[in-house]
Formats: sequence, structure tokens, C-alpha cells
Amino acid sequence: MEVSINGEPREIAPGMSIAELLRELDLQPKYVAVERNRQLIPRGEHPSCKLQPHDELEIVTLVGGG
Amino acid sequence: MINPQPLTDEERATYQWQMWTPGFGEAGQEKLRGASVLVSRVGGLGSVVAYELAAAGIGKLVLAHAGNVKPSDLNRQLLMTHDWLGKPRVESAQRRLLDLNPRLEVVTFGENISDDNAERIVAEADVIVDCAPLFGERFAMNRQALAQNKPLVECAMYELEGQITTIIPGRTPCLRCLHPEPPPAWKREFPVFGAVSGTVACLGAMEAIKLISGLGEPLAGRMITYDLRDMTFRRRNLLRDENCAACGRLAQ
Repeated sequence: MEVSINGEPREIAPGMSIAELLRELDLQPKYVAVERNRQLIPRGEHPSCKLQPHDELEIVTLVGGG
Repeated sequence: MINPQPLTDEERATYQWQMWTPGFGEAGQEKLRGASVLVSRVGGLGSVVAYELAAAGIGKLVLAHAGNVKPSDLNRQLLMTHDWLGKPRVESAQRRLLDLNPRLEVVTFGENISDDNAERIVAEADVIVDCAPLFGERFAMNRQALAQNKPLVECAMYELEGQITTIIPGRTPCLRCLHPEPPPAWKREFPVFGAVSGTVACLGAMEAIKLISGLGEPLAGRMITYDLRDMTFRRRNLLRDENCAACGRLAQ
């Protein structure tokens, strides 16, 4: 199925969770925030949050400088 | 609690143009006059937050920042001046703020926020604007904001990117909901232009003004992220982490 990640279309396996997607992208879930359809999803929900076709995902690196 | 303070004629003349803002007025100005804000630290971000709040007529600023002014501060830390190189940063900041607004009360701490001092420093202010570069400081402020039930404006930047959200204890996600632990790659030194830290600082100052005066709607439970490389601005909704180690036990 197709989703969009940071504005780019991408084919992923049907029913994939956010946690599985981050593993596929080789990203450390602790250090990024994932927004699904304009809502940031808490990390604890990444394994249970199953993606749907046409979901719009933004993977954000959180920053901390002052 | 904020106790509004009556304005003098001179203050009325100074703040006349902002008091024309619908939803603010003289009542909003009196609240600013009676309010205190902690700005930690007063670097690229905090300098501009403090300067804007001093200009807007806040009653009291509490500043926390360790160390002396260095040449590498001067591309962005707008309260630091060349003639104060080698001397304490909080002194430079205080001097510049009082040049602008001599009515302002400034309380300075020549130390950065930590678990050891956060409780007493946070106790000095009604609202906190977090402008610290390191996560240890940010987590200490988050903990005390939750413990003392004070709103916390979280401003951050890196390179050409900025982020801001406003934390209302018990109502919105807290910093730990977003960052359960500090990113390991985070360093004290990072690429920065003053115009990038200053952008998020102006947004943060406005959030503090809104929280104090009741003007508009603060960014509670929402986050603005921007990238000045291509001028993309986005607003996201944040969800609270019900199992958050810091705020999970606070009532909704």
C-alpha cells in the first residue's frame, strides 16, 4: 500500500505499524517523533498504531538547542 | 497567581500602541506589569525572549545563565555586548534590559538550571520560557513546571529549524511525553544564526504574553515546527503519553 513520508510517496507492506516502519527505515524510535495525519503519535503507541493506505506521515527529528 | 498592577501615566504612554490590540487593552498591560517570567538561558533564544518581554512591559524577569561573555556568543546572544567580553553574561543581560526598561525588576542567577536549583528558581516566576540548549536543564524545568503547576513554553532550534510548544501541566503533553530520554547525539555546540534562534524567541515571547494576559490562544498541546531553509512552517497536534514518567499521574 502507498503512504506518504515527509511528502514523498512510499510503498509499504499492508498493515505495517509505525514501529515496524521505523525499523524498516533504520531509524531509532527514541529520537524521532512521528506525525500521522497531522497528529503526533506517542512513542508507546508506535507498535500498535497500524498504518492505513494514503496515511500522511511526517518523521520529525526533535531539536533542543537554545 | 498574577496580581494585575495599575499603570502610571508614563507606562500608559509607553505601551499605548500594544494596548490598542483587541483582546489585550489596559487590562492586559496591567497583568503583564504584575507578572514574572523565568527565561533560561539568555543565549541566542533567551536574549530575544527577555528583550521582547522587557519591551512589552513585563513586571519581573528571572534570568538564569552561567558563565562569561565569549566572542562566539555575539553572533546571536543579543543581550551580550562586545564591551562585556570576559564578564558575567547575566550582568550584560541585566544592563541591556534596564537600558530599555528601567522599571523592570530583574533577578539574576549566574548558574544554569539543574535538578539542584530548579525548584527555587522556578518558584520565582509565574511562567517559564525554556531556552536551554541541554536536555538536562530542560528536563529539570519540565519537572518543576509540573510540580509547581506553572505553564512552560518550550522553545528550541537547531541549524535552520525551530520548534515551539506550550506545556500546561495536567492538560497538555509535557516535554517527557515528546522526549522520554535525551537524544544521545545532542551537543552543547550547534550550528546557529541569530535570526533563527530569534524567530522562535519572538514566538516564545508572544506565547508568554498570551498566557499572562489571556490574549488569543496559546499553543497548548500543539507544536509549530519550521525550517527556514525552505520557509516551511507546520502546526501539529500533540498527544499526551498516558504512561509518561513525568506527567502520567497528573489528572487530565
